[in-house]
Amino acid sequence: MPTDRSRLIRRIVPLVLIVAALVLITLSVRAEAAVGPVQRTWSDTTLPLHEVARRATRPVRDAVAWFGDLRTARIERDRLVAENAALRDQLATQVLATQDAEELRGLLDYVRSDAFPALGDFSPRAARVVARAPSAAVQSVVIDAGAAAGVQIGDPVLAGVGDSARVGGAALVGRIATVGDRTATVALLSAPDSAVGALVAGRRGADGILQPSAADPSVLVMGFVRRSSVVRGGDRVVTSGFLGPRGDVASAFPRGLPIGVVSEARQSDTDTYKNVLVVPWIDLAAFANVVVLTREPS
Amino acid sequence: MSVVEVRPPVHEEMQSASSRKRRVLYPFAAALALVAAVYLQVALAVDARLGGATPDLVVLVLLGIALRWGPVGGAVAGFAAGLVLDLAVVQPIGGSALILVAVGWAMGYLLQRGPGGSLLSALGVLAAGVLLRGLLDLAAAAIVGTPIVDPLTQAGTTVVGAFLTLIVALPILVLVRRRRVDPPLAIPVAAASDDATVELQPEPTSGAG
Repeated sequence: MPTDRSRLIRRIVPLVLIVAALVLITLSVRAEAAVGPVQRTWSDTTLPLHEVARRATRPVRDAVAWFGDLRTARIERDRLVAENAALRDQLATQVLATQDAEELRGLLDYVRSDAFPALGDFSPRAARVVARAPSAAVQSVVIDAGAAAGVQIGDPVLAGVGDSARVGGAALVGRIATVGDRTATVALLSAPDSAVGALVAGRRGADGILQPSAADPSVLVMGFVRRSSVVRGGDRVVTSGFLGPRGDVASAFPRGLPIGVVSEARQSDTDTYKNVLVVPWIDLAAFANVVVLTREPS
Repeated sequence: MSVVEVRPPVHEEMQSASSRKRRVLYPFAAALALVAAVYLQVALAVDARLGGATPDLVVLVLLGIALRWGPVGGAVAGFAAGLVLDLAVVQPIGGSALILVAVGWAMGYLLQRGPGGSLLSALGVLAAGVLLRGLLDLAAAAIVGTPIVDPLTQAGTTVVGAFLTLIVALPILVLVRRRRVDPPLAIPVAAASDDATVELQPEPTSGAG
């Protein structure tokens, strides 16, 4: 049974210790000059104890460090994987952008150069293809230039030929069919209702209307070509830029724009006209950058 | 046939000598354990933190002392441990002593008032001791004006520390409970009495009928 004395001790001792602790704190703070050397002496004297404790806890510290390093390595790895993926995307985008920029620059330079047929009232504007219908039945693409850039319905649209030394850096792919403020639709030469006035360069009288072939969408057919004209495979086909005798009917396209190359000229004994098969310079399913010839000044 | 009475020789003297040895040895061992706990904990705190916390070995030893000597023993041990800790880490003397006095006393009080000497109650008191220490540390830092990162983060660290302390304490407490031997002379007796006697049957002589 606890006696009165033991109860008293139980109450007094903690209070005495708390008071002693408070006194020590006060002394430590106010008499730092006296207490400081004691602490420093103790610290120097017990340095071997610290060493022993460090050695004794070394396995624990190594284990914790191992787990810590593992966790850090995992976090770093995840971060680097994400960064790697982002950088790969960035690189792909940059490469594509550089490629597009070079292609566009080449297109514009060519169109502005002396090698390109005289543009007259037309001004070239570069644009990118932003959408292309996956269906083969829809022969149009959407570009990222619209009315705000001066694009109008009917404007001719060219795309880069790339490394064709004979033709140069651009060829006709279609014309503007619809215009929005910032985008426009290009009806390709292979569209069912496409019709372009064309002529075979260097062949007198070999001109006609270029339309898509019903049998083969990769080939165009130039109809209404005089039977007497001479057309050979490999001849270049360009826009005729025709103008009616009274000046009231004019082609939408300026004269001399490259279109393609003759693959075959067909004619039967009974046909009134010759049919010339033309392969376009540009693969109409594969171009990404265009130049629109607008009638507004750049 | 005769019954031979055998008394355990000098039982009382041995018991009092052993109890004197215990009265000297146990406090000495407790003091050693306390100093070792302080220095081990300081060494762990250097670069062996898990979730920012280390197991609170000092409070664990205080639990053992409070189990043996009650709240007064816990308070005295807490005071001593606090002094050693403040000297070991070269900070104003008395701050840790003040906190650990309260922790040691509180643990002793809870153990006495609690449901008895079960392992679960000891672990519960230990967890309470670690959490109380964390809370008092926060309060002391707030009073003194020591900038702390974030009270919530500190509280989280304290909880992690309590959890780590319980993990370290569990095998130790289980071991201590299994190895307890009381009293030191394990003579089987028929009744609980100091005048223990044991009846032995003599060996039968040859030719006895």
